[in-house]
Amino acid sequence: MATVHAFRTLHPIILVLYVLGVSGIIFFINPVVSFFALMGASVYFSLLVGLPKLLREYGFYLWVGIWMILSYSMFTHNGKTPLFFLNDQAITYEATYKSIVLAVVVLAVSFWLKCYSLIFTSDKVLFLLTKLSTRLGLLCTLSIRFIPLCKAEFKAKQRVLKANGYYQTTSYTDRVVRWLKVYWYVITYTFEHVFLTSAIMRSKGYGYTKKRSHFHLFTFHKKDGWFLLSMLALSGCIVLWHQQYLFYYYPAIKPWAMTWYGATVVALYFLLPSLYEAKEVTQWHYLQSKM
Amino acid sequence: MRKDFVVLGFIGLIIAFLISGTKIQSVEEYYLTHVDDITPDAETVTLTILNDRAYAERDKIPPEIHPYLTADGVVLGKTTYVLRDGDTVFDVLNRATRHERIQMEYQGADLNIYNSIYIQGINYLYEFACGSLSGWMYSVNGEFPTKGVSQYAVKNGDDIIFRYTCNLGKDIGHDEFE
Repeated sequence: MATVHAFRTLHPIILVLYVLGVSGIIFFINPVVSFFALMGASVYFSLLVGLPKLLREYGFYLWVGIWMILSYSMFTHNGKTPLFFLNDQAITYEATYKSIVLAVVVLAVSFWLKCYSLIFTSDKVLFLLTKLSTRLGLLCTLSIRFIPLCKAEFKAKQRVLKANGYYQTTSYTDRVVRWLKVYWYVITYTFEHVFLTSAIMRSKGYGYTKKRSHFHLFTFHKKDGWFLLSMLALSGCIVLWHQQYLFYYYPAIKPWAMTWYGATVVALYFLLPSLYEAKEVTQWHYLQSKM
Repeated sequence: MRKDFVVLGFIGLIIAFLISGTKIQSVEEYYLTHVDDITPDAETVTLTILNDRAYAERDKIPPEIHPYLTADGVVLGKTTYVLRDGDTVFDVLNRATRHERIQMEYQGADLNIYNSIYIQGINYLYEFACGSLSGWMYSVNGEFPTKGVSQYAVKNGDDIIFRYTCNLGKDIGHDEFE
């Protein structure tokens, strides 16, 4: 498993600004932009967890994408080019095209969220939100913690039950039903567990006084400044050339209007974390003593 | 094991049900609609589809729709169609648009609370394209019925006009509170 830790050690505010930019740019719903968004997220995710894990995730998200494409094109009938008619309603080329782009957007958002759930640890969330409201910070860390906790709990329970012979039956249906029972149990258990922790935190007085000081290790370094500068430069270009990213699908798909520099700027923005990691890795490679 | 077969059978039943309710037609098949010939003793209605108000206020409409707005505001000029037994306004419109290959999208009667079909868009001009008060309305002999298109039964000699409004019908001569 490859481990990179240049981007994740940037200042939390920079990380938040970056992901806000990502979500802003994705909503152009432009085919090229969404493709680059997915590419950037995939590259960075593979740097974080390795290529095999990325491919395994794709195995699941491919089905999500197919489901989205089918359901969107079935319910939207606008568009100039009907492919065929399903129950007297047109399945059009334009709607299918848009559904593919939308599926890519959803995948890109999911993969960016996956990356951020790995790098945006609860100390960063607390650092950002406790100044606004301690309760909000607590709520956010709890809800972010919920899913990993659920996963770990589910795996542990599954191992024990397997060893106990809980799944020893010839019937597939029984196995599925038992699996679902465990799943439901773990979700409710984790819910309780999460709120129990919050009750403990509150009984310790957390969130009741504004005078409580908060320890953190985050300071604004020169590297943060450089990253912010490159981010701002790229997003400034995108705002300046936003006309070419605007896209429409109905009644007919917009003719190609993106220039090579427009595409490059977007690609660079989405690849920024990966490029930063690459730069750090090469720098450290040459800084190491060969003696 | 027995349980597995029961579940499998049930899933098969659901898939069979879904397939039996699905009709797939090619584009040619869909537009191949028969319109009865006009004979001297046939009962007929006339149908007109206008988007003149949308063309007049086209600066409010997204530019990608502009090439599909006809400059004279006529999508379908006044055309006579033969009436069939039990025809509603929707049946006439559906037959006409299919025959003339005009794009039309509608929401089925089972999908809304009015138990009537709702016309969402004709010729790529959809509801809300010209602001939040815009959409397709219809009138029969100059009156604006308070019924849905698939609930209004037409009779011999009716004059049906579908017209796009940008202001809840006030710009095409309909005032609810008259």
